[in-house]
Amino acid sequence: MRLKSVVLTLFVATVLFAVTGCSGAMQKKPVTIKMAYMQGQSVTKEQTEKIFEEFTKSNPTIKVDVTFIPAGGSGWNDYFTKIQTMIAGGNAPDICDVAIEGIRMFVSMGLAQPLDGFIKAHPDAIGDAFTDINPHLEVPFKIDGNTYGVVNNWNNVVMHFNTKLLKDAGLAVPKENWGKEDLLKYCAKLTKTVNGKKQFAISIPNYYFGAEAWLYNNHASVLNADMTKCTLNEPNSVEIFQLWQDMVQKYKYAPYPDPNVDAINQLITGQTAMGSWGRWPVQEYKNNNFTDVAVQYLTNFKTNVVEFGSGGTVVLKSSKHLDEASRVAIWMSSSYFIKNYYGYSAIPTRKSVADEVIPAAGVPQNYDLYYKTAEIAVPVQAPPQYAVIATIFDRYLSEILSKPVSVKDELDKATAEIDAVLAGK
Amino acid sequence: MGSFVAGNLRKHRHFRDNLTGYLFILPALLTFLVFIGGPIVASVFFLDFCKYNILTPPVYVGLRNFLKLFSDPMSSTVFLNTFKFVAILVPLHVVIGLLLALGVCRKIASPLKYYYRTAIYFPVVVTVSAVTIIWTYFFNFDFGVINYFLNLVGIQSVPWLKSGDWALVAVAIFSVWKGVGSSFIFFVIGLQNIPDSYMEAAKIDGANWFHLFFKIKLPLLTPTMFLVLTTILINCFQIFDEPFLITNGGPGTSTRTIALQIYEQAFRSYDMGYASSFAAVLFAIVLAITVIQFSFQKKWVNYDYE
Repeated sequence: MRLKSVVLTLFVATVLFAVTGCSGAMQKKPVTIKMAYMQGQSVTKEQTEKIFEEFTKSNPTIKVDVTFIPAGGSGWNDYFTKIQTMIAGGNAPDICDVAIEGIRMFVSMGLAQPLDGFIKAHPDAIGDAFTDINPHLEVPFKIDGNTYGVVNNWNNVVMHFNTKLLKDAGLAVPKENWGKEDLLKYCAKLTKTVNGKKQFAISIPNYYFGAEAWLYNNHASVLNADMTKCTLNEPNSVEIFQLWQDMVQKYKYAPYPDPNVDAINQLITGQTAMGSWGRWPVQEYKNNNFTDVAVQYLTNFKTNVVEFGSGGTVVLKSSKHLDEASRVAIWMSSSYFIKNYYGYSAIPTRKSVADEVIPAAGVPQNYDLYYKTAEIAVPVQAPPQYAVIATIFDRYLSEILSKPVSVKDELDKATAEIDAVLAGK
Repeated sequence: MGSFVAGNLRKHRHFRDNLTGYLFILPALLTFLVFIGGPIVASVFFLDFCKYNILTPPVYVGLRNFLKLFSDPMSSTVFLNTFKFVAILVPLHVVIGLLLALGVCRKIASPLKYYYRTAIYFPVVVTVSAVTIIWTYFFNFDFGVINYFLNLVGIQSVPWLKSGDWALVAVAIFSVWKGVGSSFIFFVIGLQNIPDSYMEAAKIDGANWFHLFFKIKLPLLTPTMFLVLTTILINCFQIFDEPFLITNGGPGTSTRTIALQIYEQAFRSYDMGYASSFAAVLFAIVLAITVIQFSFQKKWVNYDYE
């Protein structure tokens, strides 16, 4: 009798345990995904949290905890350093904002989690992203056959014109295939002194991303195709650097680019008439109610390719909730997120969103050029050592622009220094 | 027996007094050990012998970082630039700080005195990054305020941030404007500590301004001078904010200092070991100069009146 009651008790206990266990497995525990994002896009932290309420509606068990990281003086470089410090300090986020400048570094350090497995297992999560996004823009996040993010924003480099200054000089926005002669003609007409105030024709792009766009249009680049050697001292590259030096020192078409002077503001205030940037100046144009601005392809020196850089959300390998983190990361390439998060600072990667958002901004005048360039867009060269290479590049460019030094000699030195970095010396 | 008990009581009181003192400095000491002392020891005695990128554990590489430092052409540039800043800034901070303190400590109306003291010290407390933006606009070659006024009086524009030599001068001007308030305030305190009776007695004896300054004020200010010299010298060797924010070390490498090099190696190249080797060499230089300063102070610092 006693044995019978013991067996019965054990049976009931086992059934109860199994049932409780099953219900626990069926009801998912709430998960919090820590997200680190670079401050400086158009929205505040509170607005971002509000955007994520939409995600939580369809994913009630996933909460997103947003940490905004101030960009600091060196933009992406400072941001990546802060992410690395968070990881080293044991406070790693589950997902973070990564631009083309850092994606290869994240992958080479073994920090980024490929999303291919998740995408294959959850086709519902990705939706129509890959049909709505121009495939060129996704290239930087596909490394060694793996997908490390679905890009949600991008920027290119085109020439911005102060149309009022063009009109005053009797010029129109140049045609698509304007060449070096046209550029010099524009520069000569736009450099003048008006009522005792200096007006320069152009701002020299004294930053890696902007400068390499010019090199591309002269069949040159900072590195070779597989990014293992520096090619800065090759003739086509030297030619562009020489042009920049001449524009500052010989012709005085361009002011010396002080590192702290806002060149976009110089275009707005009429101190310069042209400058090469992507869509990020639009925020400043809007803030200043500046509408006398149009864009055109960069000067076609030998070819016309448009350089770009894209960004997306990367899942960190160290995350304890890889599935949930991947779901959030992929949702961040949804139309809803892109439309509400990226105001004027970037071009939406989704064509449908770009078609809606870019005309709504109203400036620049021929805004349709922005998404159109995706067809011929080539990514900026960003190897894992990008941060240090960009610093070397900026240093030699400032040397060339500030002193009457031999361009070739300086670029030989820059090449040697960058080659040493690439070789890991 | 009585003297034994008295001795013990004295020791006990001495210990209690000391303990109170130690407890007072404990928070500061702990903060120093955790945030400054610990990292210095880790950097100088450990990390500079390692390859370390924050994310993976340090790997011991022996003297490789130091060998690289001594063969890197950038090292001589950054050391030379730092020594140039020290040579320019230390005398400027001391002399201008002293002159301003002498000016403010004259017999002038109190409200004016308070105004001058606040105005001169104010740049020390404002955020460096905010004021550098304004100063870079001052220094701008083509649109800057300074060149505008120079042009008005017929002087050609100065390439403040375009030329390596002038960039050094521009950074020095900014640094003096930003930091001279510190040495100024030390000198004001030093001058106020000089007993009036000394000056009055000297005046009765017929001393003129020259005698009052060189025979009384300056000798009595030597302890303050020593303090100012030591702190300014250490700060100048570590100069970072001014060149980083105004010129970013440029043009080229003209204003690139040891501290900038440490920053770049640590947070651009993620080579904490190599950055630590620069920090170790800088630490050794500053330590050696401070030791020399302390050993020579007996020859010129006058503590007699204290």
